[in-house]
Amino acid sequence: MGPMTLQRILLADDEPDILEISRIALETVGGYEVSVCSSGMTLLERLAEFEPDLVVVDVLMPDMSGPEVLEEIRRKPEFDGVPVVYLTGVIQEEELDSLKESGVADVILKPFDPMKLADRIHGIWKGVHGG
Amino acid sequence: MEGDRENFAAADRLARELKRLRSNFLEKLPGRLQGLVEEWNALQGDGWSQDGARALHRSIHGLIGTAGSLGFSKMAKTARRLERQLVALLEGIKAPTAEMSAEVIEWFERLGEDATAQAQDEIDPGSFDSMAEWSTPIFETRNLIVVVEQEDPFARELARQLGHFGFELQMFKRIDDMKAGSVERRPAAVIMDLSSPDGDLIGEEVAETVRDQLGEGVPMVFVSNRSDIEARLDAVRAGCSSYFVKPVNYSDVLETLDRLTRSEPEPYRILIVDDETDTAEYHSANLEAAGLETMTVTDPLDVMAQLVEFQPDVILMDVYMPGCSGIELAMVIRQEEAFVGVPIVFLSRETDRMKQIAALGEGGDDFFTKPVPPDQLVPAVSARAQRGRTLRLFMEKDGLTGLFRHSRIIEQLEVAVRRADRLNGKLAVAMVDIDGFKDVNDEHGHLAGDQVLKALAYLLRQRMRMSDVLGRFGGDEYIVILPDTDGSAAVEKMEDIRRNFAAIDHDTGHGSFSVTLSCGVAEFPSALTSHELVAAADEALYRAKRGGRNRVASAGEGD
Repeated sequence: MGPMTLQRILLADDEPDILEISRIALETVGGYEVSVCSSGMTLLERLAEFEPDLVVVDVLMPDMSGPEVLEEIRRKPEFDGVPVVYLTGVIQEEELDSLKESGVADVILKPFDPMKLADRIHGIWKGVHGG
Repeated sequence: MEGDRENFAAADRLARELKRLRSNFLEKLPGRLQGLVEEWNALQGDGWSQDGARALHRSIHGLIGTAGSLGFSKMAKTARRLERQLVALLEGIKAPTAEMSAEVIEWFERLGEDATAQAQDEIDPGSFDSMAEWSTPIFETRNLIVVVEQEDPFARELARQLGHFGFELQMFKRIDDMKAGSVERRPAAVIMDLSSPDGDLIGEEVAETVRDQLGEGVPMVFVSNRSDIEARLDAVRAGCSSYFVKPVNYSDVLETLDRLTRSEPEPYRILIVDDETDTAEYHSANLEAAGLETMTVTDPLDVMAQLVEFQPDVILMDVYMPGCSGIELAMVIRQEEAFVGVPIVFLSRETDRMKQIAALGEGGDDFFTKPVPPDQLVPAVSARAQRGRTLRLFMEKDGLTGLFRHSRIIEQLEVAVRRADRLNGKLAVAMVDIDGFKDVNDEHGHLAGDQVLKALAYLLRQRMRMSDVLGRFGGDEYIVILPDTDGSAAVEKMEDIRRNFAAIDHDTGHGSFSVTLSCGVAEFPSALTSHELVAAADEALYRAKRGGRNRVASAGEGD
């Protein structure tokens, strides 16, 4: 049982520009508190300190893949319920299906429309928490 | 839950941030592509490694996402095709043949060409405007005001009056009825009557209920029978924005709501002019970390274009630059009437105090030896920006109505015409004049006249979109610029304003009266210049007056 309103989002992507676009989009339009990291390792380290309500993670990062990050998060009982969303570049249909089976809340394809990112995340959150 | 008006402001902020990121991206792109080509070249022949190829693949993959998310779709597509080539190569483990290699290089070249093309057509500010457009609706969403009031006649009258001004009201008899779920969206303000037959409500408790049910930060307006200082103190301590003692003057409530629902001030904009990129970035990062918005110009000759586009509150300028000195540039800027008031702060490695003072004589407002540590830079620049903006507002806005003054609105119209022209877009202009305004002054006095002028300003501010520009043209004449709107939509919109204005009761304290308005609408490109648009709208306004007043006429329909 997670908190009912989405406030804190932890985001990891190795592309500084994508990180910046997402952070600004989620902060200004969504009004969320956003913390960003440039690698999967940093994200895992920051979990305990930031206590995110939701995690957004790039699938293809140099140090860890999105699914690897997800697996690590699921190993920590205190973050087991935190929804994880993948960010990924355009991929094949069957890759998308296999990603979705890995236990993510949803997958957001890059490129995305920055204006709509906050709404999209909000929608995913509502889907998870039945709001 | 967020008000749509807030959403527009947020979308606007985001659009500006994206614009900044886009130009950063394009600026860095040639270097980035060069790096990728070098990586690719290093992979040729004996240099081939799967890890190296994967890293390159990841970089290109990242480029697709970034370019696409920033709206550079053509570039994203080209990068996507390049990625496919690379993936095909990765499937074989061996180094690519010379032929394959040449093909990949060719794709890189195409990517570079795309970038150059996009730098030219996409960095045009018009395309950012059109990017912001998809988030700008044609009609505004009304500000929701929640009213908790037991007294029927008062509540009904308040609802009627506020309704004419374009506020949407949701009424509750008791504070307990105001539950989060029952309120449609985050209200712009709550009006709360503290008097109740069961005993007066306590301000502190009311505030807590409002916070619990509607969220933090919703402005509260208290209405009460009590005028004693204790009651007022309680209200202030509870955090209320305004306090009215019954009987309430509706125009006072309106003035308060108008103030509370104006959009929040934008961050200060600082234009940094410095040919040393590192210093410029250092200052920019420090200012942005403090919540200021910055734009950097590294070529001093570009500064005039950025001044118009960015409308800075302060210019931070290096003294020694190639091409022209900061002092010369300050003199050029000061020759433009529109920028006489923008504070200029000089930066230099110069420590000679006499030279610094000489620079101040040429239109600079302050002098710093760079690099300036953030604890000095931020307060100094913020203070200058605040003063600069106050000065500008004072010069631009009409004191009574808070709308743009005549000279400023014409400037705004010229910007709007240029934009419509560039984008082949729509644009309408409406001239509005209050019918028989002289009689209002003669019969009810000048105070009542001022109240009518203010009422029209409140109505326009509430009903028109954020993107519409409102001005007081003079006396009792107003002008509305409606971007992305054609003549018939503008007429429809102004008809709505006309009907609502006519329904407003202007309270004199001993009775009330109503007034009507007439309006003339012209559209681009039937009228091509700002001058023609104003003349055509004026001519239509004259026809509306002659046709019997209290009507909206469109240019070109009567002849």
